[in-house]
Amino acid sequence: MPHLIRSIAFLAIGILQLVSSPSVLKADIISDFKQQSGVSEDSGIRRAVYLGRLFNGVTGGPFRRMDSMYAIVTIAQATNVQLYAGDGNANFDSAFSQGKMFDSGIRITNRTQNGTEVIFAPGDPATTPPFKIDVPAGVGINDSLAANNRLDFWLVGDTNAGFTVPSTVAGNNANFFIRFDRSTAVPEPASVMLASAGLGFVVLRLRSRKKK
Amino acid sequence: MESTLVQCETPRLTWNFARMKTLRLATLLMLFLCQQSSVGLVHAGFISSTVNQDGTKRLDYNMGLGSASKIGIFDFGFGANPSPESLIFIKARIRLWVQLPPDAIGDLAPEIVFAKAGTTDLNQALITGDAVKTDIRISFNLFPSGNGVVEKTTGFENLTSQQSLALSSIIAKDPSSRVEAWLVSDTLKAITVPAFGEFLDFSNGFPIVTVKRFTATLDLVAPEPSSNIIFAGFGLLCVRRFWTARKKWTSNRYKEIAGLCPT
Repeated sequence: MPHLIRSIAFLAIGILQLVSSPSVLKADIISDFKQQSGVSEDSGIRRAVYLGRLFNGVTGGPFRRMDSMYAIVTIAQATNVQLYAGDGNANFDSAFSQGKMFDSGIRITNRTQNGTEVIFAPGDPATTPPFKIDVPAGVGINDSLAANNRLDFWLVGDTNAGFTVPSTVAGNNANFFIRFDRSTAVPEPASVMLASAGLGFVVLRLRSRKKK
Repeated sequence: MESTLVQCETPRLTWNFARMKTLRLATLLMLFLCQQSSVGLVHAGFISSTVNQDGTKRLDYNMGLGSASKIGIFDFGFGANPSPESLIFIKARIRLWVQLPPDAIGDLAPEIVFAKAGTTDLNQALITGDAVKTDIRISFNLFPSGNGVVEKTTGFENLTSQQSLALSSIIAKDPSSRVEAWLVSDTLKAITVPAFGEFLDFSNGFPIVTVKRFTATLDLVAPEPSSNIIFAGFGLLCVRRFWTARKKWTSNRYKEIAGLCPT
């Protein structure tokens, strides 16, 4: 009986430790922000505006993919502008044709068409669940992060589209923000610890029964 | 001998005579200033109007190849029936908040168009005379440049007589004597004249959205009849004074040479 109590106590402490440890909980959520570049390219096929490079030095991690995301961008006069992520800070068309750019699936549309607005996609994080990324795109974006330890972001529309992406607004930095929630095909650190604790608990119970 | 002395005036006496006239000149100047202050604002030579930017953008400009961004409707306070002479303009200048693409330079820099208030189809308005293109261009290079929403102010640009007439006609046709200003480009669409601008502030560690409202100012320069009258009047007075003094001085010199006055 004391063994059982000890095991339960151990398990409870372990779980408490996992829940209260932010480093473990944040292992699969990455976020970053930066001033927008605002440099645009128009190839005659599409118009792409480079937002900037985030997640410098972040590792991809094994067997992971981007599961869902939030994006905050500063933009004007946009309708269904696509958000791409991948590898390439110039010549979007070239990077796209080489399969280095992935459509996150997020579409940016301004609330009103007469101002430069901060747009939350898919919505306010306090009230809106994150945008679910398609599996191929999620794998591709994470693989790009794993390969380069960084991600480049672009906003893409039709050729000669009228949307504008500022780097500054009235002397203030126009920032963009990206948050990815990552899922994994292998047990996460938290799951591994939980499973280990559970296994230990079972072993201890078996041993205590044998002793009896 | 006594009568000769009375008739002679040295240059010093002429100067004193001029100083005696100062009071009269000052009175005249006051009269002119009073007149200047009583005339309409336009006669002062420089009128200005500041409005909130509109932010509307039309992508159907120039058969869909370019764009037209509405800056705002400017009201110079002419009232319902402005006098025709108050609607003559020779120069214009504009200040606005805008985001331009880097290729908006030289001939590709967008131009300012004045239009009748409430214009919806600028292409049509330019044909019917309800709008007029000016030579005022907003260039990406115009300080400050950059890929952002920045405040740009042009210099005073001359309006041709045709542009001036068209602008007068537009203002005169409007019941409230207002005029709309647009920023148009024949080829560029990525031009934004926003009504407001938002930006994300992370300085406190969490994102805060801050909003700034944008305004634009249009300055027009009219010919200055009052100033012209003042300067021409003073010019004539000076010439007359100089001429009188010179005549007197010459006359005295002759008298001195003739030995009529003591040296």
